Amino acid sequence: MFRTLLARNSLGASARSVLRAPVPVTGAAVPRFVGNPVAQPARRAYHPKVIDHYTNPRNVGSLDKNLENVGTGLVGAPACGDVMKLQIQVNDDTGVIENVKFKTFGCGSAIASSSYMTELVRGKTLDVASQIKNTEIAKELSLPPVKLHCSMLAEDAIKAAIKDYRSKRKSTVLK
Amino acid sequence: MLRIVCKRLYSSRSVFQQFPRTFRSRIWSWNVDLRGLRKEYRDLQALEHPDMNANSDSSRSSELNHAYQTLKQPLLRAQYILETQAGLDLRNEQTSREIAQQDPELLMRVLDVHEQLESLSSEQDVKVIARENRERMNVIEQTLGEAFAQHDWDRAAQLTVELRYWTSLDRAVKEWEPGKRLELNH
Repeated sequence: MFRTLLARNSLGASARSVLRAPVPVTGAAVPRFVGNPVAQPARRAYHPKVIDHYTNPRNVGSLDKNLENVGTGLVGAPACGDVMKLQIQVNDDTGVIENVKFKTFGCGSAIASSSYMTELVRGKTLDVASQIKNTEIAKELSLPPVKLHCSMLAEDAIKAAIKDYRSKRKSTVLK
Repeated sequence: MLRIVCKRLYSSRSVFQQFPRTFRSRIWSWNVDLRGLRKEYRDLQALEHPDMNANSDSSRSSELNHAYQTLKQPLLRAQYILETQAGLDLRNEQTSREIAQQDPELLMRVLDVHEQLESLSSEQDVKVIARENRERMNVIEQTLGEAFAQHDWDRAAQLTVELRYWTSLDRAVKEWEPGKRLELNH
């Protein structure tokens, strides 16, 4: 199945329009997605969860990196040329991540990994968020071994964002 | 795909040795006469390609093709030279990361250009970005020539990592369409 995912590049525009086709999503997996009722054509190259995060990435955008309570993580995968920026806005009193945005310039798996990561960390405390492992993302999105590094990039990005926030607000961060 | 390419790279003859007319000294060289290489490649394929010669071995034809692609594309050529001459495999996540860490500003610069590109809506503006990026890549390719000439592998590796990012951007620019989200394919 993922062979097709990787070969998508060579399929060009037609494949891309397939990707944009409405995709049924199981409610349990991605609760916030309001599914399109139109049935999915028989052809399906991606794992549904990857398609969903890829076609409807959550929390895309930027936060003001100059704000005191915003931590920015900027990481890259120099082997494949991907760049990922993940930003968190933290409640200084509770240590809870109240807002999160990302921008990823990379392949579909990297976009899906970072999108899913933003969903995971929203509402969590920094301590809990920093414990999230890439394997959790890879498992949820069923990433094939060659795309594991995309989920590692997302783990690195949240860790970098937390580190940046903590270095900004050393005195007020909760234990 | 990548794995296949890597496997090819380890075949007994170097990619340079497969084109003896272009690389008379039979050793590696950063500078490549691309026109001569293309001519030699076509002449060799005329002998080897299964469509031309029913008796030929198709693996030879695809080996030639991989060697040609490796030499033709500056990024692949630089990666190949670093791997064979300095034992540095930049397609390896770990290795490339260690090298990239030496230039923390690079990611900022790359993100900056990607965000610029993302905000554009006219083809004219995109052409400007494309041209600037081409110029940036040309400068890196020239500097790479100097680094390779001095066998300065660390410097060459650093430049190749940077070239990796700009090559991705180059592809994104070529695939740009108004309103379409950017995606990098590799």
